[in-house]
Amino acid sequence: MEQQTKSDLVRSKKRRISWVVNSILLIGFLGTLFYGLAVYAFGTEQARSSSEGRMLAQRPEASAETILDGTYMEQFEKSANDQVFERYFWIETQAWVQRNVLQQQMNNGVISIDGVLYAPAPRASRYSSLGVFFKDFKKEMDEAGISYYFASAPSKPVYATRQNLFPPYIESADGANRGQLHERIEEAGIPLIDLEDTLGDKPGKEIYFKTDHHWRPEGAFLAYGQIMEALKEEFPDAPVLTMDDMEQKSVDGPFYGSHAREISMPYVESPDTFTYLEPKGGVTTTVCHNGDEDCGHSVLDKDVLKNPKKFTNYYNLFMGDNYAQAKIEQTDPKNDYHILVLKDSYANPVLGYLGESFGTVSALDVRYFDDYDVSISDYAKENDVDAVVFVHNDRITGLGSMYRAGL
Amino acid sequence: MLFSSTVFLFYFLPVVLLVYFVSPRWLKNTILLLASLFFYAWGEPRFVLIMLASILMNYVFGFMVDKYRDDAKKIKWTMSLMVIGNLGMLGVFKYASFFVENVNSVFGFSLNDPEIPLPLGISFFTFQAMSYVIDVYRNDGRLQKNLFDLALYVSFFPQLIAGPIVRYQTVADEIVDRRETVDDFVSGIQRFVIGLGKKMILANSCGYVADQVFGQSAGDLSTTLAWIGVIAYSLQIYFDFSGYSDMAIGLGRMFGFHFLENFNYPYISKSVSEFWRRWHISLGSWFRDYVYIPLGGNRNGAWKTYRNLTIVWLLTGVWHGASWTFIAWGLYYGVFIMLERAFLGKWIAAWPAWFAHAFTLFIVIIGWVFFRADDFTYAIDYLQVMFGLHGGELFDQTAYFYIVQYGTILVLSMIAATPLPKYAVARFMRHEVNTDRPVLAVSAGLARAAYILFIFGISISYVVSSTFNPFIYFRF
Repeated sequence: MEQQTKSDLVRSKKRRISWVVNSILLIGFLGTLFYGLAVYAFGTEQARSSSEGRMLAQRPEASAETILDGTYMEQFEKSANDQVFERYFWIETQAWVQRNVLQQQMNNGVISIDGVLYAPAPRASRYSSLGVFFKDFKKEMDEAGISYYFASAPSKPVYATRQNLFPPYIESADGANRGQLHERIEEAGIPLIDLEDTLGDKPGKEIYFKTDHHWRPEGAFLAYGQIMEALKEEFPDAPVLTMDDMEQKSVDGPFYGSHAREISMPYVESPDTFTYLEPKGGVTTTVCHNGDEDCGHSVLDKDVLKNPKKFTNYYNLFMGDNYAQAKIEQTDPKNDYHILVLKDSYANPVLGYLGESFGTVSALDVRYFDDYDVSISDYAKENDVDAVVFVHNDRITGLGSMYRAGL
Repeated sequence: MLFSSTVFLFYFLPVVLLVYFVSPRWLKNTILLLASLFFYAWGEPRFVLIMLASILMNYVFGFMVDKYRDDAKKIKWTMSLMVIGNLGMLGVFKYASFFVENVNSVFGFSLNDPEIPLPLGISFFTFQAMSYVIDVYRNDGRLQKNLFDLALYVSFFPQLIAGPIVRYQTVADEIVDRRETVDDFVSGIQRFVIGLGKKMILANSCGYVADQVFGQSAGDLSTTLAWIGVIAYSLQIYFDFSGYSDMAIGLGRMFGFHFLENFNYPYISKSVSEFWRRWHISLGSWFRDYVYIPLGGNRNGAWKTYRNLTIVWLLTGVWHGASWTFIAWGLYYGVFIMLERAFLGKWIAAWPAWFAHAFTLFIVIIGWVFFRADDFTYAIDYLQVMFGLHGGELFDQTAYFYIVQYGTILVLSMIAATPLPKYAVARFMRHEVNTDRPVLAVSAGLARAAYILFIFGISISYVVSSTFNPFIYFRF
């Protein structure tokens, strides 16, 4: 009898422990599933992810056709992924595990070295398509009597390669890629302005953001000085800004750049302080985007600075963003020179500086030609352009076909 | 729909669980059937019709074999028609392009590739449906007169598109009469979460490495990198498939079904025969019970035994995919199993255990090269690199990078592929039933709950972080 009572007691204890553990597991598991369901069913859909820098997929409209061909399900899955509850928390958790448990030094192709983020290119690129474009471009410009230059900015991994910053297991083909690009430029007979001449021996922290792939506006300003030096012979009376003409301003709050968003926060040691240079008397230019309809913008779009979100891309301060075509005109022209800049986003701060030197500066960005129909050679010829200046960083292997299509 | 997708985890599963458990008993199978058809239709709606046709065909065959069981002539015809019907359907959808390609190649014809798309999981549901008819014929399972219940057996979403191949006799009773319990449900949660963790944390990480390495031309690889790639792939395919099986078994248990195990630590095997008793057990036992033994097994002398083994391993290769590399992979195993039967098995038994383990792993890893390669040329080139016969480097910077970047996950995966973690957890968890020390018992229980929920959280983080995540076994 006594033994039976003891046995009942043991069973009762086991049941109680089992009940507690089962309850925790049930609540934890089912709670997570049903919370996720409730957020999707009743929560407000997010339009944009600042951390990912893109629009988020929205719940699709169903129709018999889209259901039968499966596109509704595809769209639904995209929206379910994008609208999942606490999306960025989960992404950061995964990155935390990857870094701290699995000891993975790199995430999404970005590595942190002494708190500075780099995205080395592991394989050498071929620039044959760009090489063909350069030759075609030169021919067109020669026929039109327009001069041309290529200002080549060293990308951040090139700087790291030159300084031997990458650990031995990191393969970086960036230096070799840059060499190949320069070969193509020189083969085509386009004068090369190698901005590494000016920037190469400066401390990296003065030239590049820690958490972004772009150069700092201070680095861009040094590059602007070298470009103006190269253009001096052709445009001797164009005024050149010096550091004394500029006021350095900084933005309150942290700046987490493109690499920080790619690698995710657990890998980011500290944010950047975002600074920019503004002429002491203020900018003297005004900007039109994609034609003559959308005008009155500034080379420094300070609306960007009002966005308080953690991952606000402050680099969009320069020119507001990237556009297929932008035209910067001095409100009180100092000369009637017209420079056409063929560019990527590295050029954006430089455009503002060039705008203070030339009466008109146009910028074409082939990556966005789908948004605005324009031809490089037609634009140069029809707008009385005096010189075309490429301002690119050296990671433009993918632009060859776009340039050829856009010529 | 993938188990490791937000759609499944946060929409499909909670809705199905809610509707299922609030429904009256008589409605539960209908709920599961509708959920399963929805699950299947989610990916490719038109293929539901093919699965329904397969169900209907085998439903009729079930009645026929039950009726003609004692009529030798009719039952022979019925079973032949059943095999032709099922394999014909599988052949048309899975092997038509392969057949045309080879006919064109051998006879110089220029027949057009029919380009018939492959319905998800057709190999799995075809084999399950055949298992139903054969089990009814053998009286291993009773005739299912309710078409919807048979449809549920064939289409039940946990095992529908990537197995395990659940034989009819395993679940015949539970389809008709089952009881869901809290203990089973919690056990199902644990199993599902472990499977999700295997898939998301281990398989996908190893898979990334394997994809990067196998994505390169074999000539660009160093010997070390080639070994890293194939080891990563060996781990990926194990955790991918066994993780999926765990999730299927766990989900089944939540709804009161008890599926058989599909994996039993295959990489600790000491022979190729043992490996196949531990790897994809449901497929191996299907071929054993429905092909090998009916052919005579090992009962009619050595020659017929080897003939039967050749047929089984040829079919095993063909089942995995319409490609000569899969067929070679199947026959590769067939050869080793025959050699083990002939003499190698005795040798291996005499070897030290560690050497037998190493030898078996070596054979298995080499086999995965054929399984992973797109064609023979790549497989041979890759093997040459693995053995340093390509005249290239032994070690390079890329191999160094993969060791530094993925060394931890690869080592963790290797450990997780052995029973060591299971033993460690079991050793700790035995305190949970130690009622003399209630604090220890409660702590062990709480640790178990925390461990499962931690894995669940980390797995969700991997699910959310990934956007494209197909299971390897989907197209088989």
